[in-house]
Amino acid sequence: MPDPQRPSTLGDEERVIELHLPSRLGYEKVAMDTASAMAKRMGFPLDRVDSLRTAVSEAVTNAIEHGNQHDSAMKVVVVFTGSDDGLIVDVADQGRKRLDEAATERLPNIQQVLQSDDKGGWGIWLIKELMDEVQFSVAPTGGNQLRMVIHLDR
Amino acid sequence: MSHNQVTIEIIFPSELGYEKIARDAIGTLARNMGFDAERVEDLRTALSEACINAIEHGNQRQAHLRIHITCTISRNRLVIVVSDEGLRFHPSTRLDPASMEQKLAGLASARGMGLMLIGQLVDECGFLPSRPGQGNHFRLAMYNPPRRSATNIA
Amino acid sequence: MIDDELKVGTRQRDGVWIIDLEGDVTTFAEDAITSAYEKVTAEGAKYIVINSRQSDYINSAGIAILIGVVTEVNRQAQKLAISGLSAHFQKIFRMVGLAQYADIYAGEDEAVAALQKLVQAV
Repeated sequence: MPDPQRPSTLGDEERVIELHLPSRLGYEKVAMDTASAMAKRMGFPLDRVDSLRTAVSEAVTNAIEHGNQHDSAMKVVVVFTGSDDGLIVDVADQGRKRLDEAATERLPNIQQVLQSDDKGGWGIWLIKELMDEVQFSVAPTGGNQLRMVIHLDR
Repeated sequence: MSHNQVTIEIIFPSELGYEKIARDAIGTLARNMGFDAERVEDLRTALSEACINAIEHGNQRQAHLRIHITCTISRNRLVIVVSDEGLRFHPSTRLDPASMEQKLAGLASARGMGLMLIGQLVDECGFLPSRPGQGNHFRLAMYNPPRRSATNIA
Repeated sequence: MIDDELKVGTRQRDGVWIIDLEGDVTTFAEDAITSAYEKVTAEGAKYIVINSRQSDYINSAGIAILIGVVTEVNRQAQKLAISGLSAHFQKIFRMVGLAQYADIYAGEDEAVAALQKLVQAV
């Protein structure tokens, strides 16, 4: 149905939703619900949508607790980029505490994790299990940047 | 910003359909704040209508433009401002709808209906003052417990 | 992007035609709803129920389409009822004044029963 106003349609890079969330636990739910809504609309099967929700929950929680140290004035920025290939989710914090990527390479030892105060490494391992690709980087300003990718199977 | 307030921002393309995602995110926020189920639904519908206005009217459905939602949460109040990039400037607010009779005669638009619905569903609403080129900014507020204003105008 | 595209079906129950709506009722639903209405009218429908299958998203553009159907229903001296809306959307339909032109029922059976009384009265 042609539209008389002729709206433009989005190119690949432009299907972007951006969230700026306060660093307070609870707000990761907003990111999770946004992730589900977007993934369902893109046609991901429900099991992948659930995986994505969990991965986003872990990533944002990490950013709140570790990167931004629960400072609600600091923001966690989550950017969702949809394309025909799949969905990219970028989570950035303001990097009070740098993420130890080496820690994420090791399989979690449940005993250790239960005893340790720092449960951050376990979450990252889970994200890697659930997502197709995971990349870490540090922003020029010092914040942690986590990129998660989930591909649409054809 | 008082230390009891937090802000959340949601930014998405000016394409119909994206308002559903913003709607879900806002619903989560309202639920977390303790608004009852009916009020959460009212806000979700009002927010959808405000976003559609911004997409269709303010941004003229140009998908490369963005809609910017800023939510300010305090203990008993949720304030949402829906901003477009103002291709079409909205100089005044008329929230009285054409009557159903006029609509049935084909005279009125769905957009007027959207504004009327918003006015009935939220506690406060209206356009914030702005100038051509600065974008339109539509503000909605919900109180918990409810606080209806006598008239909802800019 | 895949949307919650509206799926529309039509069927009959004892002299009452039913248009089932499954999915979002928005501006994108116009062709589907209009075609379904034209189809049942061509089949001779005088009593029509628009049955929303618990649509999660109905916006003012979608309501405007239904107002368009109501306009035609009035012109064709047909009778329309609406069923299956959630409590929230029943409230919305009443707010926009649609309830004055089409009776709104919670369930399909109620709507069909109400229209059947009119069928029998003829």
